[in-house]
Amino acid sequence: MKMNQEGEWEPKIVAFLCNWCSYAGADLAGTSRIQYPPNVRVIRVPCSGRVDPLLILKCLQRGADGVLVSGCHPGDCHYIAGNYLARRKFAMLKRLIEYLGVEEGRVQFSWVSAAEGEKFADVIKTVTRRVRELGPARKLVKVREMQGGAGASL
Amino acid sequence: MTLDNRDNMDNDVGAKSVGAVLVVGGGIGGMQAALDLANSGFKVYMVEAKPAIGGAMAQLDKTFPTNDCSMCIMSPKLVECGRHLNIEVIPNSEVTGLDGSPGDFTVTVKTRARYIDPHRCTGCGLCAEHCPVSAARDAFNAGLSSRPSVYIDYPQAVPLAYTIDRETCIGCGLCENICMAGAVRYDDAASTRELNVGAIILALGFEPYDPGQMAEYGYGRYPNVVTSVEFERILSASGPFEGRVLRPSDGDIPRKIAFIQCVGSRDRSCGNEYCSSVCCMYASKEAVIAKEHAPGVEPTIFYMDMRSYGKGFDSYIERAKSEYGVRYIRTRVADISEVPETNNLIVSYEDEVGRVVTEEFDLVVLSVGLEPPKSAAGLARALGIELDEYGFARTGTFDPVETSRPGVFVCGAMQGPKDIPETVTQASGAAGAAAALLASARGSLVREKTYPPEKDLRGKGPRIGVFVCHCGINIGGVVDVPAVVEYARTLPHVVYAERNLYTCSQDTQKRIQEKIQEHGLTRVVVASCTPRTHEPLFQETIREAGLNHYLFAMANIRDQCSWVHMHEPELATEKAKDLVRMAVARAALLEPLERLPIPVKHSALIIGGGLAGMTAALDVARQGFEVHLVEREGELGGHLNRIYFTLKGEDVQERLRDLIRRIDGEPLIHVYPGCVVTEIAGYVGNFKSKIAPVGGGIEAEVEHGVVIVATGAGEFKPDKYLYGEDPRVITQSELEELLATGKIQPGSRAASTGTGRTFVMIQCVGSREGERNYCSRICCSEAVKNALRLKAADPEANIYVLYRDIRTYGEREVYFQRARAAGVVFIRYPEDEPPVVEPVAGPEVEQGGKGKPVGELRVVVRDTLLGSKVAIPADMVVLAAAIVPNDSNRELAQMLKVPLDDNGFFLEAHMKLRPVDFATEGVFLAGLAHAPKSIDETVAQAHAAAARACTVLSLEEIRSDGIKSEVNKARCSGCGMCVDVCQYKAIELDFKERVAKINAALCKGCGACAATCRCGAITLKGFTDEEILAEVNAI
Amino acid sequence: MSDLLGVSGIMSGIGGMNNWKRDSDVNGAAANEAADRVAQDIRRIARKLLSDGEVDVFIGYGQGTLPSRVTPVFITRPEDADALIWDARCENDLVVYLPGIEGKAGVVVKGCDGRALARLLAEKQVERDRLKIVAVECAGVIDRKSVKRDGGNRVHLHPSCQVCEERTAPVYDFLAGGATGPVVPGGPGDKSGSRDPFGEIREFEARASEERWNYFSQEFDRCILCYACRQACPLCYCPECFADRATPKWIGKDRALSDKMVFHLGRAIHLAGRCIDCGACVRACPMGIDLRKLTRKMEKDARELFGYEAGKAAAAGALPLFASFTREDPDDFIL
Repeated sequence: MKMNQEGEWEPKIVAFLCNWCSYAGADLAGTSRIQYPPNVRVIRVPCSGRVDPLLILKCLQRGADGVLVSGCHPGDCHYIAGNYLARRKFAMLKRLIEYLGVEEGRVQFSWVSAAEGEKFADVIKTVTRRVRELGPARKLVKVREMQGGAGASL
Repeated sequence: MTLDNRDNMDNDVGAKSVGAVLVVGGGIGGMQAALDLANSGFKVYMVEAKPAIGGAMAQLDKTFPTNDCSMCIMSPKLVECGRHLNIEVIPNSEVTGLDGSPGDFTVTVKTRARYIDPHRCTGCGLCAEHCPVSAARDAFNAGLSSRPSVYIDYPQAVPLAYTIDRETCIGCGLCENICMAGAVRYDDAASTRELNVGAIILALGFEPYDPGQMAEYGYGRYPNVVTSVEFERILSASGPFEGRVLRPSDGDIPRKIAFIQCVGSRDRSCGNEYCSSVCCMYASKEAVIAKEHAPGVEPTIFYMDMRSYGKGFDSYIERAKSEYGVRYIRTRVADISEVPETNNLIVSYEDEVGRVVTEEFDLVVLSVGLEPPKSAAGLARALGIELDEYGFARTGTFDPVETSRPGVFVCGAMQGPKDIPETVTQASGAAGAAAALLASARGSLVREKTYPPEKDLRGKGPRIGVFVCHCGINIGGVVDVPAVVEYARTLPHVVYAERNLYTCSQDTQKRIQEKIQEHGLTRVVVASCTPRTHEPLFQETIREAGLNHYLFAMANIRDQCSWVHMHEPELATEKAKDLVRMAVARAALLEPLERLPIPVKHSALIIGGGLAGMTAALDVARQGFEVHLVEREGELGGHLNRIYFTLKGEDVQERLRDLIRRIDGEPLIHVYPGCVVTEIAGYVGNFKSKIAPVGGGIEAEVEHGVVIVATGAGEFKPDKYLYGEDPRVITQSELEELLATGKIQPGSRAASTGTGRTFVMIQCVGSREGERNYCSRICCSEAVKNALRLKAADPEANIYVLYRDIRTYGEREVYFQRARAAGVVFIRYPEDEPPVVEPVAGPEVEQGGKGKPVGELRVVVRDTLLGSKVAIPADMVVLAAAIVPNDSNRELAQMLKVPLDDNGFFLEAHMKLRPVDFATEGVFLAGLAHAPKSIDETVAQAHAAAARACTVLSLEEIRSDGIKSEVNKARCSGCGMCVDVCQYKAIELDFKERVAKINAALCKGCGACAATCRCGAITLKGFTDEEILAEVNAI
Repeated sequence: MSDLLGVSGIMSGIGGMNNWKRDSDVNGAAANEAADRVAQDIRRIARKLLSDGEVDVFIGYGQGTLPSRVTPVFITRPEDADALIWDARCENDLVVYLPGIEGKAGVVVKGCDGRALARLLAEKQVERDRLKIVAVECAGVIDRKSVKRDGGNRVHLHPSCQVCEERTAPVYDFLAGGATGPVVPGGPGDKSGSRDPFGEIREFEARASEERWNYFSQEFDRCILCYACRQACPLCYCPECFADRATPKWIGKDRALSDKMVFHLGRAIHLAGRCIDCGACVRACPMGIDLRKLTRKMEKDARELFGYEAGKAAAAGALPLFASFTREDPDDFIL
């Protein structure tokens, strides 16, 4: 578990961002210097449609306190409909894991366009705040000490 | 250039056409023009007066309105120019003579002595370290610091070679002794060479106004009065104070900073009547950045009119006010005096109601205007081109990139003050015009790039090199870069790690290549900015060193770390380490991928047959490619059909007829009037589209390699000021039509309109308010244009222009001054209290012979200068209606997979440096569809879109991305889900083998199939499950 | 769980019966009669198909070695068709054998099997033109575990049968015995409004999150990752299951609860819009894990969110759930 300098827990959130909209929106937040919490670790993917639900499960298993998947707004997908396909999967997955008993808010989805730097920062703030409220993830987390910090794989 | 000699130019390219172009000036404009030409089959010579290219943009810290780091966004272009096989950079040189005719010029170029052989110099800097001279004026830092006699302007300089400044050199010989490369040449002498080129592009840029001439501001006398260029260097991480906001007199952090606008602009006394176009925005940017660097700073901007007329500019100003607390005061500063004890400055000005106010500041920044470079006059003589009265190259509204001499083109601030995107646009436009002229010689003088064979990495484990960028202070100011490097060294498979001031600079590219060889690296990780802009640069670097493009991973520790966690350096450093760890984990698994060659269809689809579409169509056709020009209306021309004259007085309808005539006479252009595009499938080089009549049905199916979006915009239909209710309330374009068709006879009440002698023009109708929080850019000039027309016809006419800010930027300002001189009254109204148009009771007049009596019209406005309300009886009220995006933009955007901005205009790939490109390859943008703009800007952008499109069309084949899906047959169950998921119909089932098969040419690499395949049979190369999970596991 | 329609009396002799009959009440008697007629018809159809050369093999049910069990039989000669039986013990889903059969095959399918077959056809695992589908109008199969649990005194239909809404296959060539049997209230095909097929899921959803988590933790903790559920599932046919992959290793081999859950969640996602609730997984599970708690949830959500029913959609030629979309799909969960 990650602690900050005050010894408080700092959540770690994995964000899968599509290259064309949300990643660009995140870059725009940067060029606009919009400040947001430093808890997100971005994984760039070509499209939200690339995100296999299993990858989200693996993030939770790996100990991510939150997972965000963000893609282009409906209709704006660079790949025609990748986000529409993703939306169905995510709708089912989100309901399923919450039904299992994983806290609502651990796994979130958003649409952020290349022009929405402000919205990207807001999404990160919202997700981080929610995850902070939930506390450290324990459900689905596979308890195993990381060996040597990096590179340990499950 | 006039209409006539343009025609001459079309015909005058004689028997010989030389496939080379001379670009004079190596700033951002020159670089863009050179790259566009070199990438479409022409040899380019780039002559630069300074020892290195980069121009003014290299000196900037950030750029508006995105606050992008100037060096960061420019660096890839610098590097590409520096190492392009078909661009020869000739620094330290000037053009002294020109002979010949379009298509076949001989240019004389004189190169000054550099005293260092740039081909031998490695840029190591030992000479500068040992040079005993240390007090030479550092011009690059605007004289705020000093430098040795042997120097280089900036670390990313191209070419990366030192220069000896013999004026300060004491000739001690130390540098010659110490130089291991043997590059020092004390006996170097000026040399002259002749170049044979087909066309010339002038991109000399500008020089900042020298405020030393203005006694009232104390520049040169008071140490804490600096120019905006100096302040830009103060803000820059590579500047004299390493990005700390300090004032020159004592090195203290200033609290109150005053920015004085229009220094050397809009000022008849200094000879510069024109507006410099960029100062309002750059001052706001400098204020914002200063605040970011030193949060205690309190910036105030003293301005006359806020000229934030560009795309996203008004909202930038709003943010400067609301989020950064920048104070804006509308006034002209009369005087600045110094408090001798503190070197503080007393600024005196009149406030809005005319009281004289004095206020003390710690630092004053003079927002100096843009002047033509001093060398422009001499160059103009040498080349035989005309300059205008201010010394900018003379061009026509419809020929913004053509000088008075055929075959000689111009772009950027040399043509008139302008910002970076306008410069880049014109540069591409000029390149397109030159390429069109020389189309027959395309490919005759270029060399093809060859790469070393890819190293065979089979059986070799990952050996990863990590390069962490400081990005000046952009990253290093927040993230502990040395700690990140140390950390990187501990990661699995990392055999080498280092940090760089700028990892994207050309010398670092060389370094990366050296380190690949030295350490036998098989994968490279760069931790810097965003892969969206910089990945191609680094991929090219490692490819040149024999590594496959795809053995590269990036960690975005700037845009997504240091810039967004500025106040949490420890956590930002932790995050940067995590991001590096993730990138390293991913890199370890990367595999070489193949880029398949895809043949290119040599034709363009241009959507929209207005000025932009027609101009682009002619350019593409003149470059030798087929064009499908689709126009929704039954006839070509778009808005141009309703414009009659320009500010400069040119006859628009004559130009329109000429354009249509030339399109009719161009066999390569197919026009589809009354049609729309209903379907666009495919990808760069290979689009297939359906064109249908507006009413339905199918007109044609066409194949094409590129798309240019030139669909224009609409005019806002005013919903207030009695528009549509009272016939005397009209729009500016309606007024223009009435004027052009002689329906308004000023001086007498026309029977048909009831027009009298008093016209009240109301600006910003539908612009800069509510959801349309943008400026429509052209309305102020429109009002001035029509006011001048009215005044010319009837000097006694009373014309009032009610405005919020007059935005006659650039040389349009001169016409604003003329209008004022002619007696047009300009009244500024407050944003929150727009004028009211009302009918008044009184003597009734017969209206239009219809027998319907109406009262007089009255406009009531609060005059901010008088501080009271004024009622103006009006015979006619003229509204400056906003330019609004087309409703159909969304549909087209979705068809093309390109984004729209917040206001509904098309969003270009990059606001600064890719103003006519979309992020989607092969799709380009021109005209009002992009944002409101004037005729000359539309023409320049259309030229640019055509030029950019031709960089694709001139290729025989393009290399597709290596990111493709692949099927593992053994794992495939043949269920066909991937076939259903694929939106590109790239997958089909092989019923015999019962497996899915992917057509790599059609696959776009989205990965939907991979994420849907339950059996794990589909892998998206470059984004495999293993690679993504490696990142997940490394969190 | 509901009692099997007052037929508990007949269960006393379950151990010793060779020919499974329901004969204790009117409904039961009618059902038995219908089952006999169906069995006869199956034998007739099989004989005819085999002798006409329409199929190379006929897959049906035969008496198993234990009296209470039936077993799949593969008939290749017309004269062997007499071995075919049909009654409420015929729980096996025979379509699982179809992908492995070379040549032309006939197969007996209940409602659920028919839905699975519709999916296999849509997913191109089985070719329609090599197939003769013999549907039966199913009245539900007996849940042996519940019989055992109750000491043989009470008989229950299999849980899947109790919520089964379509007792006949959506596609078939023959309907053995015709459409004769009445729909038994609370049994397969009962669409009366009084029954909520997802009532159990709804009830579970209403519980507190922690309670659900604890329930699933206890359930899945028992899992031994034997993958019997997967083997029994008619729709698990991947050449290599994600659970078996070494790279990437989706499921660890150390039997952590987390791994077990990821396996079952992953399997549920893979079955989204595909599971037709035949209950084979539950019958196969040696640990008695409540697997349908997950798969029924997926069924329910697919229907509620997208109006998607796995078998119906497949039979109607609709694209798979995760290969289709509408603009109007639910968006309210997206930030």
